[in-house]
Amino acid sequence: MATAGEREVEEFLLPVPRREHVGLHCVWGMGKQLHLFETQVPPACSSGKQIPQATQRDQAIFDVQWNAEMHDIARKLVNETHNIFVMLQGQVKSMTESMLFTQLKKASKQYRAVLKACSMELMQISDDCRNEIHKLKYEEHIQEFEMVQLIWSLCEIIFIDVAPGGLILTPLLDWLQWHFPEGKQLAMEVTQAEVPSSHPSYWEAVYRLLLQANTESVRKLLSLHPYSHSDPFVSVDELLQKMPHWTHQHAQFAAEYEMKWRHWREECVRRYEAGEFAAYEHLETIVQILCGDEAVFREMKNRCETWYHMLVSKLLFQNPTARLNDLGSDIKTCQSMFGQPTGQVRELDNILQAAMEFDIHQVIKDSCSFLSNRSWWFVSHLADVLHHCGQLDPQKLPFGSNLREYLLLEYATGLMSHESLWQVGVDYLDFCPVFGRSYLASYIEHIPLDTERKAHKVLHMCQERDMGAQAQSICKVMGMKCLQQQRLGSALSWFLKSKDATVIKQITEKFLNEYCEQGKFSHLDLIDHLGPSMLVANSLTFLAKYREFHTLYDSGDVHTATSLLLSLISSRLAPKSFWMTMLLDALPLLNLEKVALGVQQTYEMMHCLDELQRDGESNQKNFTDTALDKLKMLRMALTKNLSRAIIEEGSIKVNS
Amino acid sequence: MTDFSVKFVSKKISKVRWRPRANVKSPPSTIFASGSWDDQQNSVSVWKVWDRLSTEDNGMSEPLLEHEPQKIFEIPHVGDVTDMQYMSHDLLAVSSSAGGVAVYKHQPNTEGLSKVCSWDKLHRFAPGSTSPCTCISPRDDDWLVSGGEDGHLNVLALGQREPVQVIEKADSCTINAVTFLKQMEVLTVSSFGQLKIFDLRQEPGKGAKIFSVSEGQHTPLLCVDKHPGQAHVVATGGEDGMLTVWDLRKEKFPMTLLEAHTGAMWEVKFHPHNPHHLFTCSDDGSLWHWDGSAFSNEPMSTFFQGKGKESEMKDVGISSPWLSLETSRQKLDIASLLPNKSLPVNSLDIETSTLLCGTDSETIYSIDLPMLR
Repeated sequence: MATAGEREVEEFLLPVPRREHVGLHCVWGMGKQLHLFETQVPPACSSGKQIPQATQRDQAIFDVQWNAEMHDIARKLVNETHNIFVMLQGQVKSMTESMLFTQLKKASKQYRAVLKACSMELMQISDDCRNEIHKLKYEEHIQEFEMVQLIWSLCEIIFIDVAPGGLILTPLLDWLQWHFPEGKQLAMEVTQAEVPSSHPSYWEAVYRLLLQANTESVRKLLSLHPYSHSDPFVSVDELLQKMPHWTHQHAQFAAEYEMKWRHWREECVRRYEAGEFAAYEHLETIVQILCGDEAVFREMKNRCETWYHMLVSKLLFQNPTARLNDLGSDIKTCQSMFGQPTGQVRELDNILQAAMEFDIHQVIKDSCSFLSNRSWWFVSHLADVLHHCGQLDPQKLPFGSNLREYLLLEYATGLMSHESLWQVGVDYLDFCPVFGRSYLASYIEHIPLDTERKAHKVLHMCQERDMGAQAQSICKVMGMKCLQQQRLGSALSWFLKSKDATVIKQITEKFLNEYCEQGKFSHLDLIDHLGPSMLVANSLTFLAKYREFHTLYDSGDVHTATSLLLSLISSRLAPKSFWMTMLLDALPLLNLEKVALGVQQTYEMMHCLDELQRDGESNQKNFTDTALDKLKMLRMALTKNLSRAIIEEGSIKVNS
Repeated sequence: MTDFSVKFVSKKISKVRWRPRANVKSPPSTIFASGSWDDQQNSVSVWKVWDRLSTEDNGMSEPLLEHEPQKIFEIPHVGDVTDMQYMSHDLLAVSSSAGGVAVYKHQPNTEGLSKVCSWDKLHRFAPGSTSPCTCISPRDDDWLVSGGEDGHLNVLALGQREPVQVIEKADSCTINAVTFLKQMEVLTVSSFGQLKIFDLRQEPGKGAKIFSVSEGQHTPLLCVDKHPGQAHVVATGGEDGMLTVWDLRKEKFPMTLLEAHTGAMWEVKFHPHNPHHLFTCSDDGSLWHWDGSAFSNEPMSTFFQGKGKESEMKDVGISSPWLSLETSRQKLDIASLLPNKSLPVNSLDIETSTLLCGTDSETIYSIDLPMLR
């Protein structure tokens, strides 16, 4: 929205059902997404004020998103170019300048190839489509793809794959042939006709091909004419055949080429002035074109379709060794030939003109406002390649990063807003050195974690990027979610990951309560296999050890069980509420035939009992009768055991 | 170089599965199914690989395109597709993050899918909300077992509305993968890093055998595959990218740990007919081929000779390469199959010599491995 000032802002009205609430408040969602809700007070202007509380019961939350729509082919484009982008960034880091330059050219061509493939696939879909409304939509997409290709390939010629010496006719002709295939298509139709020369488009095809320097095809078409053996035809054929072609891409050959070309043109003019073709109006026009006659180009206006086609065609026959710098006035004349364009055409014209005038920043700026309402794909990828080519002003923009990063951030934000493409967005943010990481950090916390599998993926993403705080937060979110769903086991496993001792304590207390109420443990598969994880929290250590006591006791190893229980009691690890249970657990040990607890151990337990009783009294919450009974029983048993232990230990002494 | 083709499918792929051939004598399958995840509208699609074998007579133009898969059918699916398993040549079972399982049948002529039966909201959390069903495993063509984030196991029989058997609290954590080990034995792996074996004949929930990779780490185990010939050999993949091979006959130290990927391992698979070859794929965007054939010059067919006790005796005699890794790790040949690392590879499947994998880059790769032909 930052650039909205320059762009036509599309207005969007959100129907809010109730009118008595005056305020609307919003919080950011994921990327290009806002969550809006009504409030009863007008929104505060100053930030930092507390967010008005939504109190209404049937409060509605509106989810507003923009620029998030993406059709199947656009997704294909996003994913396929993602690979090219990532690979290129790797090469930028690792390669020497000259090698990198080759790679940049290659990448630019790869991007265009993907674009072409996508637009061809769209055409296929559009052809098969029976639904008129959908078809219209597809055609709109195709048009956009075509325009992007047109601009990109021109930019490639001018900024990326620059011809040595600035001679640009040959690449510009390639550009024309690639984007204006009409002539070739017509020629195909004509040659397939029964009598080609009487096909209504015969001469149309000839002119169009000639204007793109496709002399071979022109000669082929002319040879199909019934009078092709007559002198004028032979003469034209000769001229076409002799036309010098600019094959060497070396500037040093320019002079030689220019000389040849002048000779050839002089011959054209001579033959024309000799009136060799006067009998055939069309042949005459052809030779006039070859002579670069200004007037005849005006007639060719419709065959060129656009000013830039005209520009290149005129260069071809008037000034083939022109350099890009000399085009200024030619652009103006060609444009004036076509008059003031309107609407979309004007936007496109402006962009192409800016490119030819070397104003890359204007190209990007105009493309942003004109094309990118739907997607930032084009500008961000083009800017990236141009940036690495050194064509972009490396200066920082007022808000802290350069143009490349600004555009990449926009593009990535769009991807992050998409339900499914956020993973691609992350990779783009990785290559934004200034703001990428902080953007990522705030987006990651907004990724909805519907399943554990997705949580694992997001977690891995954080770990790969050393984002400890975010990784922690994911574990906590998942843990809390499990708690709400009453899945104590899963909750514990997540909190073990985040090493969150406070919550682990709460969970273990829940386990212990469950034991107190039901007399048996659940989640034994966890508790029995905690291993060193039990050391994360004291309460967990206690739980695991306490469970171990039961296992030992059940297996008959009374001796080890007893000493374990005692160490648990004396370590004071257990919550007070659990002491009673633990002391009661000792009861069977006290009533064994053989004395299990020695004198010291019995004292220890009696201390414990005293402490428990004191606590109960000092807290003024009197024990229930049953609890008092239990305490009494315990004291009895302990006293009895003490006496037995004293006798036993004493008698051993005597024996020894 | 490996010969592969990439298909951009405009949906993140969570599972790919070859359709099994009708019988042993049928030609290799050319049909596979895929499921998507994390999309506004997820779907199950059926693909046909055109002229898969025609790459042999090359010299023709564009040999790569010749075996590019084409989508021939797509059906919407509620929730993420979390697992897909063929029960037979015709029946495909699909589990959903919305908690249900559905079984589809291929139409005889069009290869399209139609729903045969489904169990909605099969997995639930205690407060009543649905829990994702994470995994399924078929037994023959009429039984299924499903596991979920709720830690429950449901045994389903085709044509019966209610589960035949429910093991509640089969696991305290999420069950990530499940497989029938024997007729009445089910093996699960969980997010607490445990491998459990349940005997369905016993009282529910009792007597599950528990194995852990390592006490104290609790790295979640995410996938499992059993050796096609030796029922006691099982391979699992962990969230740390580790491959673990288990010998379930051993009581103590039953596993061999192999460091593999740098991200979670999403699927592990033995080659169904050539189990000296193993394949793994990972969240780090890689797909690996583990070639253990250097261990044994014996042709693999010995594994499949005879049935019953006799073959079991033999099994003991033959040392599987996967169990003697400790001593001969260097013989293991590991190859990375994808050209460049990108987004996570979620699923793989292999049939004869063509390996499929589906990724979060919204691609399905089909990779030709001539050595397995």
